[in-house]
Amino acid sequence: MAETIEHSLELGTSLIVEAGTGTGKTFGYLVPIFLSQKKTIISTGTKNLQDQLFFNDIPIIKKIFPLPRKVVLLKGRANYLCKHRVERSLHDGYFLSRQQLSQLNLINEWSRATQTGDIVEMTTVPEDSSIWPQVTSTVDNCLNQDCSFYKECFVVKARQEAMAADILVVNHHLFFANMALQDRGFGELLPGAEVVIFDEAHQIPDIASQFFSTTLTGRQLIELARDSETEAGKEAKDMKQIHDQSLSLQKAVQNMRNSLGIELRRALWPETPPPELERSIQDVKSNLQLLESILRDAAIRGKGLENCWRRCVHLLEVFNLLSEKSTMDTVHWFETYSQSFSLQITPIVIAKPFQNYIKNLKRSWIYTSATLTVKNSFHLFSEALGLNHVRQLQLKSPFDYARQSLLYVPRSLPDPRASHYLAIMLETVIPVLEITQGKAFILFTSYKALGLAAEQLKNRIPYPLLLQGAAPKQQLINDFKRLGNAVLLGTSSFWYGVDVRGEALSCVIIDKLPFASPEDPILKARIERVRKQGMDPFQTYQLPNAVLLLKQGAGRLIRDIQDRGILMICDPRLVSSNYGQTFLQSLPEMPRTRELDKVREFFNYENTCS
Amino acid sequence: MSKIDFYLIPSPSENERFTFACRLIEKAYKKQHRIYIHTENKEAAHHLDELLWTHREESFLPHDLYGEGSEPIPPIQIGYHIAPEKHRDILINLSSTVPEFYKQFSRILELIARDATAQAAGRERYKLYRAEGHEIITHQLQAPTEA
Repeated sequence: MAETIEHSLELGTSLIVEAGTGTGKTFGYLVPIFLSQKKTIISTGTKNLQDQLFFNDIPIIKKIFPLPRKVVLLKGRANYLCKHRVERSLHDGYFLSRQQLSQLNLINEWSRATQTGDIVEMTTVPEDSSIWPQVTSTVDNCLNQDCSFYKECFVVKARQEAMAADILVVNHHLFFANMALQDRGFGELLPGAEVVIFDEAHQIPDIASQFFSTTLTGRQLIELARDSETEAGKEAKDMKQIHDQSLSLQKAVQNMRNSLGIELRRALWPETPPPELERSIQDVKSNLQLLESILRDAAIRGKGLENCWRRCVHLLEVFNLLSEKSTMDTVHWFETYSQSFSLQITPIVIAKPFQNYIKNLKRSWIYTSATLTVKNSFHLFSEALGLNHVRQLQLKSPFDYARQSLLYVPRSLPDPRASHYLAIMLETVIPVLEITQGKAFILFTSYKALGLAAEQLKNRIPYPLLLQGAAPKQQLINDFKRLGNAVLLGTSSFWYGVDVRGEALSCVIIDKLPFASPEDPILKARIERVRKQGMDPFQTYQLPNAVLLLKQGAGRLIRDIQDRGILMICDPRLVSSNYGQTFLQSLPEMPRTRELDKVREFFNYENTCS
Repeated sequence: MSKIDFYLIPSPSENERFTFACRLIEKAYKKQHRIYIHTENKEAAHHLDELLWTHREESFLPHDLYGEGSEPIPPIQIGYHIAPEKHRDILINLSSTVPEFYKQFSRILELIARDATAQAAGRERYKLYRAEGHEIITHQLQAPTEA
């Protein structure tokens, strides 16, 4: 891998590498980067992976190759303290709860001492505390050069530091926010970069799709209203109409949320909205227009109000775009949350905007991940991003799956779409948990199934049950490692990038083959497009995407040469459908069984050996 | 009338009989037949299920146990006590008696191991089929020659 990347860097060409678990993927790209002396951006999936790279992996390479290479870690703006927002919160303390207030005071003290303003330093305030959004900035509420703290701004400092880097470590969200120019006010991340490495590259199509979308949330409108009110309180106390108009807008947004239906869903935007919805759209629009005209007059009174006016103009423009008919080749859809909603226009195909962006940049683009191929083909990935002529390299995992693992598909399961499926499936899971004595991840394809399963399992197994959502992800994983016999129930983000080595994780259970919900509006549009091209959408799109996700989930099990474990996939279709073969050929070669006794044998063998 | 084939296996081993059954199933599946395998009991059904699931030769053999719920119904099903609805094509009988529902199939395959008890039961089945007037072909299989 290192040699092939080195070669690509020399020639300035691009490369796609699938490097199976345990191949040493990270060092595979770090070594040639360090040796090449080229300016490089490394983009990975999450903040945690960024920290892992910056604080653990890169120092090892630096020790081996003591070259004068400046490595900089840069995160999204929500990770840096905003002094302006801290000051504002101290002023408007009456908005905060007692707990928030005491956290705010801790943060305020720390803000005078910190060099970087990276909120990860502030360990005495939990990372999921509701105080953080109050003391960090967003693209919307940032005052940019108008801010009185501009010279001390941690985001600006971090960006300046980043500009001087030889190697810059970012995450995909930050990379694409920058690429889609959503973070106005900043230029290129690293001018003159010659190499971009995308680690966890399987996430790129989805993330790119998100950032090439036009999006507006009800929350953004509510925040605009609230901020206008706060700024008016400071800069134009006499302008009571701002206060009134802000309330009126909040009410209109709330109404619009209600007229989208109580149910939480993602759905296509109706071509002709029903009368009630249409009325509420017009109501939000006229309220925004009114607020805009008031703020236009008020802008002269202060920087805060001026910023609110600019935001209002921008949001009005986006709202108009999103509440009208959309263009061809895009999906126009909305999503409802308990308190809010979002409106979105997403391109059906992202290969074109993505190619438009990268073709002007003479760089080596290196895409790597443990899961990019389906049945040994990179087609799905390269097609999604328009990388059809890019060189490909596939490296298999060095783990001995034949010895280290066992794939178990239980018998007597009904069709996974049946309503009683989950209950019966859990009955097959319990005896396996008894054999492994906990030490398991159960990965679900939906939150709903996760919740029902938690209910059904809680009095049936004597092992600690950890639920996604009950605590932040990293804390759940740390608890899981510490407890040593826990059962963790997770969905979505737990299918990816979780690394638990050793006995604590001896079993990964998957509730069903992870086909995306056919109700999803973006999926629907993509299916329709494939069908129009005369291809089978199931074979060319749905199946390969489910295969990649299953590979990710299954990849949690064996993380080390010493690991042994059971992969239990509770889906009879893996055995009974023709496409079962596609899944099996894309997973590592594991011994298979449908006998619980074989699971017991495998596990008891493990115990007598260790 | 059903067409019936008797395969005489040059080994007394029940395992070899099942292995041979897997090969027949694979061959018929490749020709796009629908296959129902009738076994003596639940244990035998599970044994065959395990063999098909771990089968690593050329083809993947999509199958289930009759009564499991996956949709659409796979081309290969294994059962042991009930008459399978909707099956008309090939029956592979691995049980020691002739199942009552056999006439719904157009072809029936019988596998006889070289074991006295199995052969005696096989003869009984042969007689029954013949008495009903079906066409029967017997295939004497050769032992694989030692390399």
